[in-house]
Amino acid sequence: MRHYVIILLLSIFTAFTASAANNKPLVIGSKAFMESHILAEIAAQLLEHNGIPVKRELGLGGTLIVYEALKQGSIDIYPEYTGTIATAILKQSETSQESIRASLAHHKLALLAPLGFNNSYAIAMSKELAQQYNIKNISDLNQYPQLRWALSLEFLKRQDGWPSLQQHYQLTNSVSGIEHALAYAAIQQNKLDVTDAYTTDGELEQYKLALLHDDRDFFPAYHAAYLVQEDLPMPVVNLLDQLAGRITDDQMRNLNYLATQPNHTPASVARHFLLTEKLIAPNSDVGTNADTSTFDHTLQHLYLTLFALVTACLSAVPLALLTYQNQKLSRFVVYSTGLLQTIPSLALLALMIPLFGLGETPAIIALFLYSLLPIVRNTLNGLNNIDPLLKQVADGLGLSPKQRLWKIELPLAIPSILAGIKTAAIINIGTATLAAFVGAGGLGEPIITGLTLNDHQLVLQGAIPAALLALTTEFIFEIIDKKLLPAHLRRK
Amino acid sequence: MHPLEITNARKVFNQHTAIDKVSCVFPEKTITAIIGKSGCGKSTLLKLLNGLESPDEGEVLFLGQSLQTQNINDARKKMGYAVQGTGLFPHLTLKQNITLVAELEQWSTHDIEQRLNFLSEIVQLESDLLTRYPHTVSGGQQQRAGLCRAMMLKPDILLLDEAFAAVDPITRVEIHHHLLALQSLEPRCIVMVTHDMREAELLADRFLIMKAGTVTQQVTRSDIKKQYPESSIEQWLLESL
Ligand SMILES: Nc1ncnc2c1ncn2[C@@H]1O[C@H](COP(=O)(O)OP(=O)(O)OP(=O)(O)O)[C@@H](O)[C@H]1O
Ligand SMILES: [Mg+2]
Repeated sequence: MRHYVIILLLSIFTAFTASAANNKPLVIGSKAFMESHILAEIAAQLLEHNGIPVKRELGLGGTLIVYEALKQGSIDIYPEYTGTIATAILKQSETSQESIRASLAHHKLALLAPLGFNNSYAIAMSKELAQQYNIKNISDLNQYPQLRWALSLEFLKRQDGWPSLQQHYQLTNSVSGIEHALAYAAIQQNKLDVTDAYTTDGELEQYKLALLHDDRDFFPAYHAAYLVQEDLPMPVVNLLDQLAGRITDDQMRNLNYLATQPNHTPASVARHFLLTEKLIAPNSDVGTNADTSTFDHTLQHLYLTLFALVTACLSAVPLALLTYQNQKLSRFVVYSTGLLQTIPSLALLALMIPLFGLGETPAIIALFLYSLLPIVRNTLNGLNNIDPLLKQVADGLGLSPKQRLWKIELPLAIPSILAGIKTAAIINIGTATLAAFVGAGGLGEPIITGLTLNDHQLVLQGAIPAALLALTTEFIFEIIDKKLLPAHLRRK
Repeated sequence: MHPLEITNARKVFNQHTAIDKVSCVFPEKTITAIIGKSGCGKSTLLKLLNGLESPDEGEVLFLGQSLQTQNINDARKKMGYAVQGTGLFPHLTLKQNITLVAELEQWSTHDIEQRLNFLSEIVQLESDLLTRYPHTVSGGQQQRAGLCRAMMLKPDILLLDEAFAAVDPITRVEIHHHLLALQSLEPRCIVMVTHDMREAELLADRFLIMKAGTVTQQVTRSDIKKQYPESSIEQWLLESL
């Protein structure tokens, strides 16, 4: 009888866990730019339409972060480009799909069939001017050194950008740098003739720009394809493979353009594409992540900031108290917390993903680490700047070291400690906007989505509350100062 | 037995001998003034007495026992200590400064109030001053508060390192009288370092003359009076430096 009970319980248990595993939604990621959003939405909606639950982690902060998240298992699918995989991720010169697939297999990852289009770098100029000079190929530019060139700063600097291009095509013109977002308008206003572009850029059409043919095969191929976990269920792979070869350069350019138009979003554009390709039925529901209100973003932002700040206080202040009497030790603590401060935030977030995955944890830990230095340094300064005579008098009165610390030194250091905590809090409020890059939400979410979609209102929905938070923090600390400290001890 | 003795003490700071073979006693109910030129080691001697510095050689006997073998914080609570410029804690009111150690010793509120009233009355610190922070009261008032703080725990010994140097002569004379009043009510062993010969003459019963880290003379008021009936103490002190 008992056996039966155990077997029954076991089977219930396995059934439960198995179904839980089955119901766990597939996580689809994207980087923080339009095309990546659209391609992620296309995959998400196609799967949803076929009854496969998905969760979106859109707008993650760059190649390193999405790729680390995929490797770590926080996401299952995201759109990537063959050129990026070869050069930026695998750091190999071999760009063929076979060689990429072979290298990815080592990481238990797979590349699905390419979607068709190639979003490479390209050289663009106005259609009119190209016709006038009869320029079709990049090599034709050789004959017109008088053309005015301005290249995006990134392209100008990248080793596989302008320096190599110039050599490859023996170009003799001079170039200057320009913010990419301004280049097309500058060409339209005839202030500029030639710039770099992406082949699927939705704005090329709008600004009447022609892309020149890369006749000496300089630019590597950037074929878009879904980069996925190797063990993705077969039905999912089959569904996504329906998209193979379906999107041409022109189509992608159009989708990118459409998404910038009023009343369109990456989601609506993806749906439009899937409908025209008859991959979903018109009556199908589009799932999106539930909309989060500005209030919720602010709460989340506060949560991230405060959690990191409180834990940083609880570690940095004791750390300073334990080490302040030992010069070498306290200097070591300041140097090491200072070193943490020099790690760029995105790099720090990316470093954290293999350990903690996406979400709040890596964001809070990064904020925590950034908070340490100002608090440690101010606490140490506060303690070390106390008049030595006062310490001597405290000893002379017979205060034990502990009493001296609690009754004299700590109270005298409080203004400096508070200033350190305030600095950390303000830094945190700013840095926490980057938390959205690892899917931790907060006010960075509307800011980054807004920047991606070129939606200024959305950007402000994040930026204004963030600025208000910083001001409020300043104000709150002023009150704490007033409540806690007699006037003459406050820091001016 | 004298409450405080120092025998054969030597203190060297990076090859500079600040105190060299100093032996002397500090008797009960007596005010001893330490006199000497700047840098001769007066403050260092005082710090050896309350353990803020420890001697390289020799020892300090406090209440008949080597200071080294005692719990230094407990011993210091039995020795009041006041320095030039008062050393009042800026984050505490005068009252909090004065009563801090008593509170740490967990005296009852009643005892604390009583002692505070007693002391502040003698040094004429009005009660409305007590709730103010040190920087809002005059230098003389700060000195008085510093004196009260040093006396709070009814110490066996009081060490004063130029404790009244920073106030004007008139205020200083007032404080001298407060100190004498206290001494007549609660006589104790007081060791004071001073540059003011008139202060020494007015207050002290004994004089220690220091030169370059050594004690060259230990004399009492009556010794001087006997040997030099025609010169004032102040004069004698000035000449013996
Ligand atoms: N912590 C220290 N480190 C190094 N040298 C010291 C230290 N304390 C005192 N000294 C030196 O020891 C000598 C005696 O100093 P001390 O402070 O005892 O002199 P003083 O007699 O009190 O002088 P003053 O009348 O100017 O206060 C001086 O030469 C001083 O420079
Ligand atoms: Mg001195």
